[in-house]
Amino acid sequence: MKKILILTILIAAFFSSCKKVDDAQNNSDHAALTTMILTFKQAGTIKYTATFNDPDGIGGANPIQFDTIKLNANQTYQAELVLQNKTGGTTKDMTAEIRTAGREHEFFYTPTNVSIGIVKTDVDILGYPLGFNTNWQTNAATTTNTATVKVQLKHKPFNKGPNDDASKGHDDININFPIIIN
Amino acid sequence: MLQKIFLIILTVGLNLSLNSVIGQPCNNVLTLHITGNNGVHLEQATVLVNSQLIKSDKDKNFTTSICNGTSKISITNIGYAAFDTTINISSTKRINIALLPTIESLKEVLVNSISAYQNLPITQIKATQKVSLIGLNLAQALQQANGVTLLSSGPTVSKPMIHGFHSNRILILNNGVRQEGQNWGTEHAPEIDPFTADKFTIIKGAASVKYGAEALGGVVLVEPKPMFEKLGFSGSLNTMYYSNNRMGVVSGLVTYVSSNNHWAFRLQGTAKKAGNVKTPNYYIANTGLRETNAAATIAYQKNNYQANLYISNFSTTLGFYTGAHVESKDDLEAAIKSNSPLFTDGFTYQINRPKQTVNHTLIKLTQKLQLKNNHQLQLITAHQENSRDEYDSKQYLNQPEMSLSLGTTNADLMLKSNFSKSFNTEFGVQYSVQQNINKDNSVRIFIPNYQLNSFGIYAIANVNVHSTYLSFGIRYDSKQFDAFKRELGIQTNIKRNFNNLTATAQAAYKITSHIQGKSIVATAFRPPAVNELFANGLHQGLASIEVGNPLFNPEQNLSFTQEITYKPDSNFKFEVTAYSNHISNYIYLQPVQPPSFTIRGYYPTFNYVATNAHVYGFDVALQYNFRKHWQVSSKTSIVRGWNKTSKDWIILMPADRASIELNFLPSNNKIFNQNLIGIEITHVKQQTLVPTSTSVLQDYAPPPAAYTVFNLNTQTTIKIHKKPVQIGCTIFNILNTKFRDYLNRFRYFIDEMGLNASIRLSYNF
Repeated sequence: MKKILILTILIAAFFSSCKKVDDAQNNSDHAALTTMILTFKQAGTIKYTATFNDPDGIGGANPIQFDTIKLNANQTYQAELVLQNKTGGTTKDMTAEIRTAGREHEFFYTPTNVSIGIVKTDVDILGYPLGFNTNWQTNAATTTNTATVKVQLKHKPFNKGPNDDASKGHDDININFPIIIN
Repeated sequence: MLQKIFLIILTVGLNLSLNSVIGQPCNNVLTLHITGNNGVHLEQATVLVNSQLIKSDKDKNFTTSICNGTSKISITNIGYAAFDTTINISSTKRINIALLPTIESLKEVLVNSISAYQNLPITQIKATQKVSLIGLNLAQALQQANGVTLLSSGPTVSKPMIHGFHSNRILILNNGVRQEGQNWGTEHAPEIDPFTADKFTIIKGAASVKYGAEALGGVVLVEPKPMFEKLGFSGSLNTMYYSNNRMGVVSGLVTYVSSNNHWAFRLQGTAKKAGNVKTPNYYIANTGLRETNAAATIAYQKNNYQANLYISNFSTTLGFYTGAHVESKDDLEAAIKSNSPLFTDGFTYQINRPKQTVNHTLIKLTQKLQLKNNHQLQLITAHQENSRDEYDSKQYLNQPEMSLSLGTTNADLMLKSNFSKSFNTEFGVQYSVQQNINKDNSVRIFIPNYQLNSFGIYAIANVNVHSTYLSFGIRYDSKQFDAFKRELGIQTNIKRNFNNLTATAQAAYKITSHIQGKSIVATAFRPPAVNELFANGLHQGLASIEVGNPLFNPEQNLSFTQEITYKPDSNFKFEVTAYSNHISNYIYLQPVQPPSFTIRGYYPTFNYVATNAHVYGFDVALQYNFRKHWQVSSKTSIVRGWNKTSKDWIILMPADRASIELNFLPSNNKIFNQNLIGIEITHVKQQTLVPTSTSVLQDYAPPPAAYTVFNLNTQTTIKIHKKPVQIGCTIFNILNTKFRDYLNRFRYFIDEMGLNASIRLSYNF
């Protein structure tokens, strides 16, 4: 019995997904946080804006904008923080999304080599501190150029408490803004 | 038609029949005694006399009544060339017929059972050889071979390392098909159920000529039991339980072979469930696993044709230690500095994020056709789908952040020709198409979609000259790689072509009557993997950014291996394997300064770079059976990886290690048979040969201290309702030693598993 080898089975079409390989996924990260804008107001008027912007997300090119915070001494400012996702070439606001997931997140502002009192004024759905909105009370002018304020966004699902410190959870944002107080 | 090369020993036996020699014309009894290799009695041959199937008698010979005159005899048996002859009968006769083995089994016969795999330095392990490892994953089962170590990402993920080579520098063949499952990832374990295997063959060294690209450092062949071994039903049932992570494992296999020996069917399945792993001091959070696998085989053989259809599915969910997925350098430093892990837990079976789910499906058809003049044609066609979902610790939506689908279709055609006892050849053509697709809504695109077309053609000649077995091979490979990336709305297509020639020359020879040697020179190549070409971003888990280079050339390996085996008798064996690999374009991760500045702070950053590497070392193994009941065996493995360009050691090479095993085998008694009590001691040195350049931080933490681990192993076989059941009890790490291993990527955060007591029941029928 000389059977010709005709039982070649190619089941590729049956098993492979309907998506085609040359229809590439958009490289942009749908949920990345790439841009942070900190706006300082007094009595509703914008006094200063500091921006951090790394539009292609983590990796790739370096951040294209990283401002120094410049404020006046012995003043009170109301600061508002806005988060954006600029990957993919368009700007997508992420503030509302993170606010909605507020009970998994919390901002921490930590000054070094400068005397500032920073207090979070907004809360999440459980009444725990959130930190998009803060009050900044500046004191004496900075005497060194190594003064910084670290802005951290911690992500801590199922783990957030009313009195957490900055050590709990993972960093979504960890930026040391240089700061000058005049 | 009888060929001259057929060995036929015709022996006319005495007339065993009570009838007189000059009986009636059709009252003769013809008895056929059929043997194969080394005189083994072939009881299950298919024997046709005058086109009638003959059954075997109580002596397992084939008998039939036969008339005076000429008769046609036709015999087939798996592993042997078909035999046809015509005989002239005038009385009751007994004929002894020795069948000639086909190519594959022939190679095993030639030259003192040296491996059929071109005499490469191999270790062949029966899956049931080291019973204490049955129930563990594939890499753990392979670790019993000298020179094989584990590369792990925590306790749930481990992959094999041969002489320091891992991931896509070694090739794993599952039942004859290259395992294609995102092998480039150090945290992607091979998706193969060791319970489907009857035998593991580990080739320690370059084997590109027969197996193609990526067989640069070695090959692992996972092979199931042959289908036609026993008529009717046979099979096995295994169950085990492990105390440390409360893992339960059940695996069963049943084979049915039809009475005419033409059809065989097999079903196999395994289920595993484990919870958190315990180190000597704490439970590691989120280290559970689940696994369910199933496989079915249908086989057919008749005369000169065999077919084997194999379908398998491997499905697993693996938990990753929560604290190992760090999101920033600050997080990473905090986790490393802490003496105890930041996340401990009690025991639970629950698996949370971060986790991976992997599903691997394989369908394969193998066909073999025995042609005239001792040629055999073999065609393998297969398709496999690997689907991998990675759930990060940070959750955006209730779906995996990275979701990859890898589909591979391949066809391999081989012609094996046996020209004489001392000369045979093998020609092969191989083709495969592979597609990698990031599924919709993937949040993280770490590597792009791609298509890879591969073509290979090879020729191997094996010659036996005065008991020296020589083998020569040459191969050409051509691969076309097409990547598709979409950035800022624009799609780009990057093409790379890789063409390569590899060759090998080997010799296996006797130095004295008790000493054998093997010498191998081989070249091998490996095209750069998709992550080495295109990675550009955060590598999840270790808070590090990796940057690839789309212009890399393939790695080229020129390797030399020398193996000497001293075996004065069946109770003693001493073997040394020394090897040296010179690899150009060796691709590895090099830390760079400055670290990358991102919204999460500074990330350690690594570029993939190419260098010239020298990877060399030796394995030593000793086995000695003494005083009737005692066995001692020991293994030592030394690996060195040297970066010839930067004149420094290469990172992540295995530390020197040695192990010794002492077994006592009490005699059988009425109740307990095949008894064994043994102790195994493994010592691993601290790895001090690591990159020493201080201009950049080379590693997050220095290699961990040396350690010694003790295992205690006992086994016996008892009869339950007259059926043999093997019971085993193994206590791994019986001293509950606290240690970390350099080759575990999570060693920055957590210790290895503490004491683990296991109990095992095996039933074969």
